[in-house]
Amino acid sequence: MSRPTSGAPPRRLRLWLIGALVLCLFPLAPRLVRPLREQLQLPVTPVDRTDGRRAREWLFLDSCRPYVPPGARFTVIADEPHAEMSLFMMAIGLFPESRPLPHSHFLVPALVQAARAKYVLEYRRSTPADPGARLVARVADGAVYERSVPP
Amino acid sequence: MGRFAWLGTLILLPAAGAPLLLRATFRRFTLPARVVLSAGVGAALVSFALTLFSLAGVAWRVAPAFVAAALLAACLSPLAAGRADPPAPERLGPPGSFAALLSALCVFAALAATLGATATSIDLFFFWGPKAQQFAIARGVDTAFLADPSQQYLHAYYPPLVTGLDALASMAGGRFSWTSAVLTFPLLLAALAVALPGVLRGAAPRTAAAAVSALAVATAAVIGIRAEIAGNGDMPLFFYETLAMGLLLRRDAGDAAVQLLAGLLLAGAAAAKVEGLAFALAASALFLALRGGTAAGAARSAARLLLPAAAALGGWFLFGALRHVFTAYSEYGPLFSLHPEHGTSIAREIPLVLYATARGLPYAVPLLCLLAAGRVDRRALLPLGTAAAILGFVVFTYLHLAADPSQWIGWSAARILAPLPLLFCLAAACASRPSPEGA
Repeated sequence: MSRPTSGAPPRRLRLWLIGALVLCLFPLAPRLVRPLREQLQLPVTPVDRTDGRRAREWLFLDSCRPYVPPGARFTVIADEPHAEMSLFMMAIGLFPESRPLPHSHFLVPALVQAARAKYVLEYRRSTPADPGARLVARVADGAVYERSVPP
Repeated sequence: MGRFAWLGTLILLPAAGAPLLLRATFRRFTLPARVVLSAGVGAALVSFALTLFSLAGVAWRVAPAFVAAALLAACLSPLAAGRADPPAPERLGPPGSFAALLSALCVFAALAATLGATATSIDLFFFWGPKAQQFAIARGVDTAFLADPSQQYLHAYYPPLVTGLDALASMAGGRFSWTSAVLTFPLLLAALAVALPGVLRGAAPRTAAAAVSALAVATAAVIGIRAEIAGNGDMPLFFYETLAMGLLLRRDAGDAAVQLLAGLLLAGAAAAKVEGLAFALAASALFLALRGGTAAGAARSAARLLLPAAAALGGWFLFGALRHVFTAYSEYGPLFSLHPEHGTSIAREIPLVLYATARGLPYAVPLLCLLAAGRVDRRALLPLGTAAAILGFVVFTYLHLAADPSQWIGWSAARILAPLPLLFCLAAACASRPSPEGA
């Protein structure tokens, strides 16, 4: 390695500091154009302001939580395949005491696994997937159903 | 209360690394830098201890994990023998104070963005969080969970540091805390802002070190906010990589103690994310090539720099192989099964994604600062060569996907190419004019 160095010329220092200042101010720029009231509102979900679609899915899963008992197997059904996949993935984290089973996996149907689920969380669907299932609760953007499955 | 205990576990990490960093030889760093370096070493060793517990079939517990890490640090400390003087008093001056203020503002911006949910990583909810939560419930690596075919997207093989530490914090807090997990972004950015000026003082004068650190912290803050990394493994990776490279650029980087410390931080990088291994290998190889010296000396340096990472990842893959869950980094097919037909799309998409991240400013500004700084000395080859290696690794990785990787690039390029501008900042620290009196 080379010898120690010293005495950064002021021009370089100024340059680095101006660069840091530009970058430091950049996060503030969007805040200046957004209404203050909106900025002062606390987010409802951790992804409110980064991914509105996921925020809505989060709220749906969160509102289903009281109706899925600990240890129960459940699946999530959505008409839109990508939403179904992301709902399943988020459900793993949001229902740590229960067992989510995929209804589809990477857009490939996983009906055999889903058939083992006692609870069905239906997201933004007009009719239940299993007509024989019992409605447990209607929640934001969907409903929770219970059905009889072999133990 | 749970959230405080969750974050408190991470704030206690300096204690785990303290038996090593308390050695007199590390007086060469400022006290704040020493505390943060101790936390970085502590985290890497706690993660390694958790891997050892998993191999031994011992349930994870918070206190034993910290004690085991501290014992490992104590065992390593004879390798860092010797004394070193504290950094010579040097006036910070108004530019240095302004740099410190800028760094503080960037940390505040990152904190505000995190609390306002504008920097949250969706990967926290898809991968990092669920795994950490499950490991906390299982009090160890839940192999049955990872081996379940329906959990294949959780990347079972992924290196263990972030999920392990998050799991340990969850055990201390009683449950996984999503809020605390996202707060690790501003927390680690603050740690970087505190430590980097002290680390770079061995590479550049105090004011220059402060200014370059402010530039690096601002770069990490803007990319972190705009690429939404709060809660995932990217900020731990930036933390480890930046500090390790800062150490290797110091004029005392030839000392065994500094190399050992850099090696432990490189192990932290390799255990934080897959691309951390590429960074550790590239940085170590370039460091050894640039240093020259005898073969025996190079072998000793290589051991200090790479054995910690080899132990961390070796233990992890041994565990995966013994439990039949994973044996290597995988998922995208054989190593040399490439799809060169995607080269054009990769070359087109990467600049677009970087431009979409704050109009490309956090990538362009450090590069412009480096170019405009004028002549750099030979040390700059280390960060610049590592940056080239990381770019090559990223392109090589994207070439593995059979389908068009455009969407994947859109998700990831802004984050995984973030080490490049950070390395440009560090290269700028080598732009100072040689002077007979030293730094």
